[in-house]
Amino acid sequence: MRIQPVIMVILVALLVCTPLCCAAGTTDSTKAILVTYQYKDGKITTISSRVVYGYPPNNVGGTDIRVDLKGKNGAVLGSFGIDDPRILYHEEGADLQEEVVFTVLLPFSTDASSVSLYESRSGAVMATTDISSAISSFCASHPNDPQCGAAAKPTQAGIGYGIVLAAGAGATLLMRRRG
Amino acid sequence: MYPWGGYCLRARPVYILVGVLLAVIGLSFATMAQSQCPSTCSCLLPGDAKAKGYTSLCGGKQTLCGYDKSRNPMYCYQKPSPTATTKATTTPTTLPVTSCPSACSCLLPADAKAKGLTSLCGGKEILCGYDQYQNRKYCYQVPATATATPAPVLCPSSCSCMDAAGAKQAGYTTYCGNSQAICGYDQYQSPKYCFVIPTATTQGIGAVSTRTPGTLVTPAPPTLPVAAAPGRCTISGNIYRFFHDPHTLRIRVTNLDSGTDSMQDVTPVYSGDLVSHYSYLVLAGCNGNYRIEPVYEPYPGACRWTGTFAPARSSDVHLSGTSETGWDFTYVPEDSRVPDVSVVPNPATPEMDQDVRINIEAVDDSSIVFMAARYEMIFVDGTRRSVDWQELAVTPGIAYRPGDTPPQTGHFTITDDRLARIEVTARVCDSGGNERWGSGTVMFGSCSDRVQNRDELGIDCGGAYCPACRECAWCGEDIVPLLLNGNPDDKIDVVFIPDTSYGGNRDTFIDDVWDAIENGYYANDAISGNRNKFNFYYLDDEADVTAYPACGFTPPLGSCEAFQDATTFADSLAVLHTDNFRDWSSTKCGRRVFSSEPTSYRTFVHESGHSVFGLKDEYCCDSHYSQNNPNPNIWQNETACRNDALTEGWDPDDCDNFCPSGSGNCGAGFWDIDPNICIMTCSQSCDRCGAAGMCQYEQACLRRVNWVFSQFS
Repeated sequence: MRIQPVIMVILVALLVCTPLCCAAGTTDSTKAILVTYQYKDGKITTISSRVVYGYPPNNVGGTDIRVDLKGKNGAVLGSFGIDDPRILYHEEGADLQEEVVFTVLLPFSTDASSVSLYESRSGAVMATTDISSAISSFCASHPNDPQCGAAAKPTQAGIGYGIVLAAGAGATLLMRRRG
Repeated sequence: MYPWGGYCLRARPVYILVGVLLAVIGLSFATMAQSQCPSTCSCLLPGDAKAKGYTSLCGGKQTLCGYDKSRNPMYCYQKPSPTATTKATTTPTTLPVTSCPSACSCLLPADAKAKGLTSLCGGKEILCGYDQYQNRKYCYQVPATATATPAPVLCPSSCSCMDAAGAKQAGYTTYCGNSQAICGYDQYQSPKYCFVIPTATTQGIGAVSTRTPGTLVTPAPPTLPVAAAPGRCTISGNIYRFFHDPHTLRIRVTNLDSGTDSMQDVTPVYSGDLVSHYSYLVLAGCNGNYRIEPVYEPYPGACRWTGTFAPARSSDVHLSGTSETGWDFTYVPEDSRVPDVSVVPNPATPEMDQDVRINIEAVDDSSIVFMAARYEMIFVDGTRRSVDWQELAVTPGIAYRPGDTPPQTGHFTITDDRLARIEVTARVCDSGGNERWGSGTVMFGSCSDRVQNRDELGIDCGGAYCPACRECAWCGEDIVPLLLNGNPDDKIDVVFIPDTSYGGNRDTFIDDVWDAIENGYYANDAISGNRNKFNFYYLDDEADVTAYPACGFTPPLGSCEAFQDATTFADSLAVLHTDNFRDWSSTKCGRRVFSSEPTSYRTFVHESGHSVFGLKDEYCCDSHYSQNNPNPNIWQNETACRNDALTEGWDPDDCDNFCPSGSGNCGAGFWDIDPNICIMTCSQSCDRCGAAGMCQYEQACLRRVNWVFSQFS
């Protein structure tokens, strides 16, 4: 009978920290779209595009080039800014490189279809890239990804919650036996 | 913040919680009065009671019955009754045996009956032994023989009249005059003889034992018992319910006939490891009138108690030829409330190297007349230094809540640096002489000292003090989080990368990173004020960078693709190198990367101005210039600058054509409006910032920085 208070404490502790375990153990399937370009002789051409797991950068501060992520119907899903990738800052000033390969990293969306780059000052289109094949290729190789149409995978959160429930059930059984 | 962080499934928090509950229970016990326990109860520490299965308090009340050697309070617990579930033991119970007086024989009852011995010695069952079958044997009176009982003789002054067993127990080994001269008979009619008194064992009336003040230890019982000299007798008794320092208690014996008096120590009587009560034994003439008085005697470091002693019989003893026993006293305290003592540091959780004031708070229903503290300092390198007892001045304190008894406080201050913790012990005396000890541990550290100290589960996270440690689900195998404030989509993520110049010395690199964060980023007011909007990490592999103009960059992780995949979330990537060369910021492996020496603190803030906040340089003339709308920090013409200034309430006359038309890369010219110094005006070699210190983001720069910050929570 003396063990009862301890078990009660354990149960309360489990109850309190259940959401914490779940919160702490959360993993997600956040993905980023990476489009790589070559900037040469004032022209930007697409080299490749792909989708990877990971958060994209915030792309907040840059202003030289506007990057629009567009949906299948042409609607802008998100607009971002990057600095001119040709700029090479150094301790004596800055140079504008003639040729540079740069990558734009954007948030993933299943509705995304293309990425367009605009010169911010003039609004001129610098490049447009069809990314639908990159998305379909990713989903083909990750059929269980929830954003590729599959059911949600069991996450660490679910596992954590299961452990908590199991522990709680075990403690209750123990308490009954002792009691 | 979550109090238990992410380790809820471990057992430790449960123990902590149980410990807290026990502590609360323990504290509530402390207010109980002192008394001795009834025979059906035992005086135990709460922990011992629990361990022994004594679950019920005696009489259902918390009755203070004494203290252990560490001055922890003890209480009366009901002895558990045997239950049906108690397993019967087969071990025979063996009771202690006593030697029979010389006029008696130790026999089995059957044997005694067979010998015709029907009278128990002294009329009582005196257990004197067991036979081979564990049957008990008792002392039976042996009938007196026909031989005439010799008349007792008077022992010489150098001898004492004692029975043989008593003499042996007292260490009196030599018969007086080497002959067994009978000097009397005890209550069993056993003869007593004259034994030579060992010189060292006598302690005559008027002799006062010499005592040396010292630590609070229970006095050891005398090595040899005091025996009555010829013509002398003894008076003995017990002192009950006296829970104060026994050094402060002495027995004054006054010869009422002569008016002379003497002082005698008390001797502790143990029950197991605990003092049950005290006893005394004083010498006196066998015929006379004496007064026995337990009295207070000052003793260094011990509380002065106030109370009286209730005699079981009387304080005055009349001796008429024999010794007297059973002259007992019971202490009656004037104040039975024991003070509560707590150690309260201020601040409660001092940061590393911060001075801390240690307050000792005592709560009692009477005044606190003495307060002292000692402490041990444990430094971060593991060394220790102790400070012995020091008396503290006691002043009235303030109650935390209306209606509470205000504490009486004393304090001292610790100013030593590099402390990990301080272990403080305090003790107080109230005006009734009740003494109580308290202790506390002061833990140094903070949730931003970059050290995993106190009870932190990670660096500056977890445990009782800091925010719960965050798991970095997005970090992958190659990114190590240093300081996380949230998910990367809501924070500015800065990733540091070691250069090969570190030679794989990751500890040095990490130290340099923290140094750059502290003296670079956090030295800038705007960033420091928004430090919760940053996440800092490092990449656990080396890049190889070379100086401008080559600006070489060999990516970590073996390829640009692996480097990109590992750092997708990074808003700023900084490569630290230990060699000194001209740094750069450029697109490498598709990402904006900058190089820096670890102590080029301004470089971090300047480069973050580009990569994080989109600021343009404000120096002429060989940078790259464009008006960075919205919230620009440079304008492509004066009108735009002046209009913006008027909108913001700045002085339009501060618009400065810092990059004149036709100069370098200035094109048609550019204007700025930061009349003092913005870090974008210069970088590490920014003389106008002064030799030391950090340049700030100013006016137009600051507006844009705050605009970017406003997009993060």
